[in-house]
Amino acid sequence: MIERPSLPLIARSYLKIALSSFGGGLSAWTQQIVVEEQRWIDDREFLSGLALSRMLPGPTMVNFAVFLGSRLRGFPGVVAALAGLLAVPFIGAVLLAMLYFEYQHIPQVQPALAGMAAAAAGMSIGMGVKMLMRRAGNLIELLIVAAAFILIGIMRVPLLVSLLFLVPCALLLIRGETK
Amino acid sequence: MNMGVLSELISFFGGLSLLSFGGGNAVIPEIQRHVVLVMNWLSDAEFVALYAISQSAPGPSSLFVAQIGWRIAGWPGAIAATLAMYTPSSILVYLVERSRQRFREQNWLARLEKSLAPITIGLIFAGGWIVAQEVGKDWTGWLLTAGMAFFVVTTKLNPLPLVLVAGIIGMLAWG
Repeated sequence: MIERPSLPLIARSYLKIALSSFGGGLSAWTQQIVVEEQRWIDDREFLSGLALSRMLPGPTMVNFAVFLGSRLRGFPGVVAALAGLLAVPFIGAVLLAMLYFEYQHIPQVQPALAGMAAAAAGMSIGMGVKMLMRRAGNLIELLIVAAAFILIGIMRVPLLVSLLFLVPCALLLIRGETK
Repeated sequence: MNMGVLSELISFFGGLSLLSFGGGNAVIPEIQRHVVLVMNWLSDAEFVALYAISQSAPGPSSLFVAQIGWRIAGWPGAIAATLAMYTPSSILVYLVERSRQRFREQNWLARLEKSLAPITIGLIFAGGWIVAQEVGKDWTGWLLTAGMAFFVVTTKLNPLPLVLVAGIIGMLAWG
């Protein structure tokens, strides 16, 4: 990091990231703008920030915006990054919800959105498959994937209860040979 | 404005914020369970529609919670749900980033991540499954889900155009 970027520049860059990311790809656009265009951090820092954002709770790329904002400008940087990332998409999301509830009675609206939801569900499942393939999954890991899926997806056990059972099991069973 | 509903929104999404290991998609099952099954704030069809919209719109797909909040309590609900969803987790990330020097030598975070990853993957499958079976009332729905999963696994292309195509297919098949 050569010089500290201004708060408006952080917010503007994050607005650009948010508006570019139609249909996912938020992490790719963050990398493109933060590392390639602005050169605020290098690839190594980007990946370590991404790892941190993934392991803590919260939406990953929102967490990353907090990480980057804090690293660049401290707490004001966090506010600037989050405002840039969230303000316009927040208004857009609510306006789209308003449109939906206004026009949901039109016969074509619900079938079209159901088709999109079926595809988006496939997107999410495909993402899970990719994450699974990236890990040299052993049998115990696969069992934990299956246990989490059955508890939460099939039996519909509340998340907190499921985690209170799953996390200790995972910690005990998965030997952490860490980097 | 009904303060009771607002405080319910804040306590649910605020708690969810700290449980959302694995990001926004991992908490879809819990949001559906609470918002549709327990509280009856949204119908199944409305949940699925807002899910489709938030997954396709620009910005974090977790802004789904803003749409839910708006439906339940208007703009105050949207703001309350959004702040509740992002504030606790953001504070945690901020505190960890500030003290990263101390964390550098410790590998318990990496250990935790390694253990949590399979749970996260199971949660992501559960979220996809819950939506897929809701819209998979005939083979068209299941085919759209399976086709999209295959596309995402085998290519690196932006899936959004295909989501829109799926919308047209849905309109033709079910409209």
